[in-house]
Amino acid sequence: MATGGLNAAKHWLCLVPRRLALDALCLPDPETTLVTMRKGQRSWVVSAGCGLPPGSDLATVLTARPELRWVERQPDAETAYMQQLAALGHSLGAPVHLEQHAPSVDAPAGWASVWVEVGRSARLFEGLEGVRLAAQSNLAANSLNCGVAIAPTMESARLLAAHSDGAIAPSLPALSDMMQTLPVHALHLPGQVIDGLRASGIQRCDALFALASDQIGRRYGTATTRYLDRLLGRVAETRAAHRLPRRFEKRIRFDGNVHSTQGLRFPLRHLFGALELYLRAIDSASQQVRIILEHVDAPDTHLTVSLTASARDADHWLLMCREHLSRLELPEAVSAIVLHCDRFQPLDGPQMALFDAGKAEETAWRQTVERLLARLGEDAVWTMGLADDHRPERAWRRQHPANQQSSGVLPPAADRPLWMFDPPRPLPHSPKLAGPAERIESGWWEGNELRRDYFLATGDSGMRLWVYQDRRSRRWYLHGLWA
Amino acid sequence: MTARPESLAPLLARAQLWRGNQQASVRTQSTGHPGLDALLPGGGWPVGALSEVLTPRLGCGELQLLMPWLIRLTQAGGRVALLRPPLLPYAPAFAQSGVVLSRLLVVNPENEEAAQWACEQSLRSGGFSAVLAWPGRIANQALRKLQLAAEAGDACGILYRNRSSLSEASPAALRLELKDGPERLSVMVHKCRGGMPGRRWQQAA
Repeated sequence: MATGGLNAAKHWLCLVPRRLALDALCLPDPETTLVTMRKGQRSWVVSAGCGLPPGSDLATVLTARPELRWVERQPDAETAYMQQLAALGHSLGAPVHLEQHAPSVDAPAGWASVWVEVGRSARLFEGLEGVRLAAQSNLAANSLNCGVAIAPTMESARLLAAHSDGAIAPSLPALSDMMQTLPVHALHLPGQVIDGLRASGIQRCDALFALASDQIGRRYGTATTRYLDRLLGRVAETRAAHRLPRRFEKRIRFDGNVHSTQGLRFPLRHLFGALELYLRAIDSASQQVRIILEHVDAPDTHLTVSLTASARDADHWLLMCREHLSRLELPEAVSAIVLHCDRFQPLDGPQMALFDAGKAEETAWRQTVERLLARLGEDAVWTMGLADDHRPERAWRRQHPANQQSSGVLPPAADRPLWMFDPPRPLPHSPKLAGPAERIESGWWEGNELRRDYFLATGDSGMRLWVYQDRRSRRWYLHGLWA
Repeated sequence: MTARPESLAPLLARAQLWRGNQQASVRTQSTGHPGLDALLPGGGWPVGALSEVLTPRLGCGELQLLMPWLIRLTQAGGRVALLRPPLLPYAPAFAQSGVVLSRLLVVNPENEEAAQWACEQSLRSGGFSAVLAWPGRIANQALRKLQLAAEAGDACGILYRNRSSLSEASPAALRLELKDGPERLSVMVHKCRGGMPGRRWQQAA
């Protein structure tokens, strides 16, 4: 079986988070924070911003560095972080694979990686270098702290991503050259195997690769042989492909409560960055998201942010949210924030590269309307549409500005004033009429029964008024004004 | 020559066209009243600036004065905002006149502070060709802010103010007083940057 040939055709890009447990928490001060795990009596450092190695004993570290703060790891947050990486993977190629293992006594930091096959998409990015650059700029834009590498096998891509960030091994021979100088402890093998290798004087990979396969199997176990076969592309790797969830939901739990909407901006940036990655991955956009603010002792605050056109750009969403948040009064401190999105549309207009003056103006209009809607509320911003009804109050309706469709209704034939009083204003005495009556009635079956005689009337200084007499009460009302 | 006449309308709407006239430095949009255009520097509403329409009261032709321009602007695809109008703008009447309703945005904030913010946003955005605002009482400093926003967004800002504000200084490029009389529009030019103030125009009967 030509497995070697099969694997040689593949190009796996691997993303390996450098400090998953810490970065998953989106803390504002990661440099002075330790993320820890406890098993039985033992508490150890899983991930630290200050560079302490994983596995360090917590009590010992705190004795030496009492200024450091520590928090327990949050498995949910780590899973969400990996989903975000997988979403990034989906925007680069297919299939995508994800593996994640919690920390244990043997592997004190745990391990997790995302792979994506980029051989076919490389052409779109003008080569493997282009794919790597795209991955790196995406990571940087979303503050995702990961090593990246591309190699012909999944195991080798993971190895390079963790130990020689940015490496690209385009073929198996190139890969084999690149791995020669790596230390054996970089290999994904159990601690006692690494110790055994070192004890026999094998420090670098080249020394290990020089050994015959059956010799390795006898000395270090068949698991080691199988690992090396996968690493060097001698057997095919099989893993279940990752599928993106059908809806987006991400939650950030705060370490201390947040008391002002100002304090929500930093976590929101993270959430919308993750949403943008997700939307890119499903090649879609959205017009509406929900934000849920969780409080300790009060019911959740729900916030719906709607746009006039679908979008995926994180900065754009963030801008809209700021307007919403500036109007929001928090009932209580916020303990967690959730971003939720389950309605998707194709991306509208302006995010394409083609840009002309008309489009720029259209984009500027949309963005302004969204800001106005967000800050002033939907009741305060509208466009007008005509409605097919002869009752003056119902001959038109307010429309959401995003709705640009004409109702197809023609305006009434009779002359109407540009200004209307809403509601009509009672007149203390009968007006000076200046024209014939226009009778407007609606049947009781239409509800809101209406029987009025409308007239043009002349007001002070020659103002032209639109007045009516209610036929039941005989009272006069001022309804409109020509201007 | 292959110039197509229909391509002129969008250019006019976006104020990208320089209308050569006696004052080449003022970019304008025709008011649609030739007699009035003749009195104004550049021949119309100044683009990228504030204009004030000072009125004695509501219902003195304040919308009719702008209507020919609004019709042409919206039909050419331009966007217009009505900011805090004093009464409800009645859609059937605007449609009867020929204004394209979907190009007309009504913004009605609860208070003057929010209205000024919205006005500045709309003027500055570059998304509106014209912003018609009823600011109520407004300080000179706030007016200057709006003037800068109109410049930045290259928009025509039309502020409706009460005639009594004529006694106050204003950074607006143009100040027109609308006299009483809804049958025929009657306008007095009080200030026009780059032109001669003090002239009067009355709509033909």
